Amino acid sequence: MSVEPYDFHSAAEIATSNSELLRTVGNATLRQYRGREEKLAELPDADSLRWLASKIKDQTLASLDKYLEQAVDAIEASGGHVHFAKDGDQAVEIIREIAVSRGLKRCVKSKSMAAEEIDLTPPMERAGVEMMETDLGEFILQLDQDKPSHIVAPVCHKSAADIARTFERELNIPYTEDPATLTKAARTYLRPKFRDAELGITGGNFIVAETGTTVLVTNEGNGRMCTSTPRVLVSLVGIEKLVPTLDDMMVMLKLLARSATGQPLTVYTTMITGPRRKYETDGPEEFHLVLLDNGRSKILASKYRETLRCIRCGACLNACPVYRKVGGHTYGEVYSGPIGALLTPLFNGMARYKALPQASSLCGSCFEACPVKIQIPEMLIEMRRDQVEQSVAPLSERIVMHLYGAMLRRPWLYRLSARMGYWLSKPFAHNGRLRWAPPPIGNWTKMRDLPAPAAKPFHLRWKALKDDR
Amino acid sequence: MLDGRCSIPDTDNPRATGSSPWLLLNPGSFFSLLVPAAELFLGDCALAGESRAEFIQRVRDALTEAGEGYHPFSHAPRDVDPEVRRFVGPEAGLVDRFTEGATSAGMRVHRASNVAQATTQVVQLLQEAEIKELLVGDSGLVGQSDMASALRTEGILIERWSQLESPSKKAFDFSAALTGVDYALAETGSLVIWPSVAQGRLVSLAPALHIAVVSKDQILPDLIDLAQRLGAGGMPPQLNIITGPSKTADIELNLVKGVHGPGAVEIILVDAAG
Repeated sequence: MSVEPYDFHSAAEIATSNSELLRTVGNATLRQYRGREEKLAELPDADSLRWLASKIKDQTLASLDKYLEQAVDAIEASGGHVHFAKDGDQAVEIIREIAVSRGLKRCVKSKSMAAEEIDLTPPMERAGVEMMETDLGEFILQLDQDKPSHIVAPVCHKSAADIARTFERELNIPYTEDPATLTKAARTYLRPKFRDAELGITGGNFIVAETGTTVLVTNEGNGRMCTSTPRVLVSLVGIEKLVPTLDDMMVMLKLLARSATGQPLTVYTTMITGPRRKYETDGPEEFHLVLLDNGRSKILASKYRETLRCIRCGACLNACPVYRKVGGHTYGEVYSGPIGALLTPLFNGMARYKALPQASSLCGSCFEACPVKIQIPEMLIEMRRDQVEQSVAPLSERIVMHLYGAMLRRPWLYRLSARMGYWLSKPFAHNGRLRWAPPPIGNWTKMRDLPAPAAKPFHLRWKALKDDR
Repeated sequence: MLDGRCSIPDTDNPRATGSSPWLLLNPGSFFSLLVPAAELFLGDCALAGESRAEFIQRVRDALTEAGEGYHPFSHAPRDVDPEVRRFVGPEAGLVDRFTEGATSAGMRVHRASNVAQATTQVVQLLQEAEIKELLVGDSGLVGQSDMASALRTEGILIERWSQLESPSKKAFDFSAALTGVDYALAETGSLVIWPSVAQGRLVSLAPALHIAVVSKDQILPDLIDLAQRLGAGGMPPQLNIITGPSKTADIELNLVKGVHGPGAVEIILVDAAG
């Protein structure tokens, strides 16, 4: 069975010809990138802190089974329930079951990449649950029936004018691009939804194994609302989000907001350990943690385990020259940017998403930005190697590379090709550069110039130099 | 017949969305009822998903599969000093650090030498905001020194959280709230608050103005110190580290305050608890 590969190049061409998109995504990424640089520069030794964080993650992943056992025990001891979802379908099933069996119809949802991954909202709506997005960016996307394009700034691809039109259309307010007015409209709309909600659904940034604590970092207050007013709370969290102790979690916290937006901490760091206690008169009566595998254990077993260090800060997206130009939707799936270029082939199939590891100049900005030192560029190269070994690369490319390798292994053929190369390319060379060539070389020159082969190849000049001695 | 807890709606079958008797006669939905029926008889209901053992075994198997041969692409150097995780030591000027952090996060810090002064400042802040009614969470210094009673004699309309009827609904009707704190953090200028009998989660969240009274000796140097205190004392059901008024930059990176949480946080820092 052959899989239709995702056409990244066409998507990218559409994106780069959209000047509004270039403006909004460019601004958002640069602002967040500079914020990160400034805030990290304030620290005496940000680099060591990042290595420390990477060690904490690696140690956790290396004993993930043990930490999962510890976390589950701690959550249950605090009065919470834990559910285990092997894949997205199971996770949807679990959450739908919780809602339907308890007759919960009004749900407020805080932002969650994991929930995007499993596409939770449509099946819940079909089951009769009103799924209200409460993060302002996600709320706007919901009104527009659009999808997030950035892990941290989901609506950065939209302009104020776009949002003004959406609000005018969906919330019946007079057209305005003033951010304060638009935000107030969202606040007014969502406030009664919070007050009267029956079910809260959130993601989770971390789970602390020793205490069974789920940690959410937000700025708006919707995360706190979703975990305070409804009588049932469900948090959906990937298994790679575990950290061993509260102390370890503080290390991650010290890096997360700084790397994402350049804040020392987000406005609210919310730590949840079980449902409400007997002395409380607000807070959820039930707390459910849904642990999600959905391909993570497979990655854990593989050489790409390091991608599971990711704390979803979005710093690599902000640093990436490719992401800045094409935005998140171009990557075709939930996770975009450099980390998405690794995760999407791993989660959704190398054959379909083979273009993603190729969509990089390997500049290394992502590795420079990553708070947990994920070696993204080296893994992108490794994936390209995998593609060759798995014969995923297109046939024409494989033939050319095979012939190229055959030529390089035979010195006489190499020397002959060097001389012939000059004569064959002479008609196409201008000022020492090839700007156009017929296929298969044409596939290269479509995007970049090639230097034209020299009249006197290096091996002849070297020979002449040696002969002169 | 199944009880409500086990019914899994067959969402692909348009006829199977209600409790019509046709539900059972439809062969497609018959099979979707077999599983929950089996669960009814086999024990605990509502068990979508895997068992704990299966789930964790898969993780264990993955680790075994990778084995000793796994090496990350990026290795931490051997000698990373764990002390780098501490940004603020106990000897630092905690009050100044705290004030700096809180201010740059968008909160105002007012100094008071004692509770009486603090009470006066609360009255002033409410006058400034033209608010007459105050929701009070009797926590921290606010509870200890019964600031609510003092404020009442100053003519402020006080409602205590502990005395509200349907507090989780009524909290939304207030424009201002007064709370104490459990800790404050010098490192980031943050407030650390968790619920108690006298103060629900919504007190510091729903009203648009949040006034927090902090005693100097509640200030911890660093997040690491907070982790130590919490580790020793056990985790509350919910804890919030609050670092500023609620905000968003989702609309073209323009900063707007007061999205769903308070748009203004005023901190009154008291020198002595007397």
